[in-house]
Amino acid sequence: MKKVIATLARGDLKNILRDSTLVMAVFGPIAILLLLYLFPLLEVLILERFDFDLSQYRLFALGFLSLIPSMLFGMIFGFLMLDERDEDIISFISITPLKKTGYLTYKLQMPMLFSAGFFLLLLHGTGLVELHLIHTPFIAVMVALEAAIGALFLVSYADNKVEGLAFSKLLGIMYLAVPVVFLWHSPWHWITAWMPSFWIAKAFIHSNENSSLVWMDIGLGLVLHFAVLTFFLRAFLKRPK
Amino acid sequence: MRLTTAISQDMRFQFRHGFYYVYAILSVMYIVVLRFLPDEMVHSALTLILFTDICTLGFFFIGAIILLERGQNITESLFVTPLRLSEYLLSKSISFLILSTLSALIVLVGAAIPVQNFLWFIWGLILSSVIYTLFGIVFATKAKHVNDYFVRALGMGLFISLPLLGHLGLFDTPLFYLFPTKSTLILLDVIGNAYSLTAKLYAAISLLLWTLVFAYLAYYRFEKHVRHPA
Repeated sequence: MKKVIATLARGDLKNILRDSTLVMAVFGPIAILLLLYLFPLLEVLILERFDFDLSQYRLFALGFLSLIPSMLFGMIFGFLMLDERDEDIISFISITPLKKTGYLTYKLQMPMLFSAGFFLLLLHGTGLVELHLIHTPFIAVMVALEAAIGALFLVSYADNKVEGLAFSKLLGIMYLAVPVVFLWHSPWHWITAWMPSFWIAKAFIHSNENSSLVWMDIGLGLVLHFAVLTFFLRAFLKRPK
Repeated sequence: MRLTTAISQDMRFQFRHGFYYVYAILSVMYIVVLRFLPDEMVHSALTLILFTDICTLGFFFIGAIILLERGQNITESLFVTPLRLSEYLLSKSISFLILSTLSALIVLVGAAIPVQNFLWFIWGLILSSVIYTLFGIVFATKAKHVNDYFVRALGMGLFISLPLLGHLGLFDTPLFYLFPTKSTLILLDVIGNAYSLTAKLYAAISLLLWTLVFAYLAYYRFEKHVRHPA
């Protein structure tokens, strides 16, 4: 099994390096890292120019921007799988010992690992806000699941890359709950509680306040993420190709 | 007649691949967001939504569509019919223009945004949508695959979007008036903000000239790289 995974990983790395867009998409998270490093400078610039205190939105900026890598990695691996479906690679793999589920497990592990890694790097590397160390691995798991959900959404419902592009536009909606939770100070923000990212944003706020409510956010968030993932997983496995 | 058939075929393709459903959902989301924003932010947010998504959707999709048609040898078959290249390019631009305009009008009406200078705005929306589809075609003609298209087009796309910095108040220079995007931003913004007649006239004429430039470039590149490749 390890050998199979190594072979698949080598193939993916080759694809990612050969395909310059994918390399660019990997640079996206690095650009976010830079932006967050420069965030304190940006705060000063905006305060001087517009007399607007951006520092009060630090937690929101970090919460929102740290989710973008998971969306990008979800898209990268979603498009890789769409490519492989167009080339009938998924059909071939489904009759090998790896099977369709093994292929999918591997394909989803990669964006999840990258997303969680970048999330922790952005959070602890920039030191912009303080979240409790015990909470962050659990929030990272939710962020990682966002990437898997994004990739599965594309590959479960898009028939080809043109449709994949159209559906990737909808992926952004998944993250709408984050600005709603942070910026809409009304009980009405609960109308986005059905979106998995809602619970990530809530966990950010409660962890920052060191509130015990964070455990409820993590618990409900993980359940919702797994439920959405299972829903898309079933849709993917039902597909003939 | 040939042109209307080509446009209806392109629209049918877009419909079949979910573009209309996706933009119906996105338009509703934009309406919800705009309705909840404070009044003083609505027009700026609308200009950003139109500029970054609705107006430029042709640019986002055209690469994949042309590559798909090339991959399936549809373009070769099309050009043995009486359909002219100019009609093919027009059909692609107009079909995306219809989707952009529909989505923009739905957002405007749905979000109940007060509108002024509507004719200037429509002129800007129409020409901008056509320009960015043609801009995409220029790069799609030489691209090998979809990701290659984005790599080729994204650098130039980001470069011509620099006037957005001026619009956001971060950095401005008169040189931005040389970019088509500056004119787009002016004419999309006129529904909520006052601009001098000179600025509006400049933007309207500049967009017309840029449309002609990109139409020529798209025609030339298509002829050279798709119809008669070396």
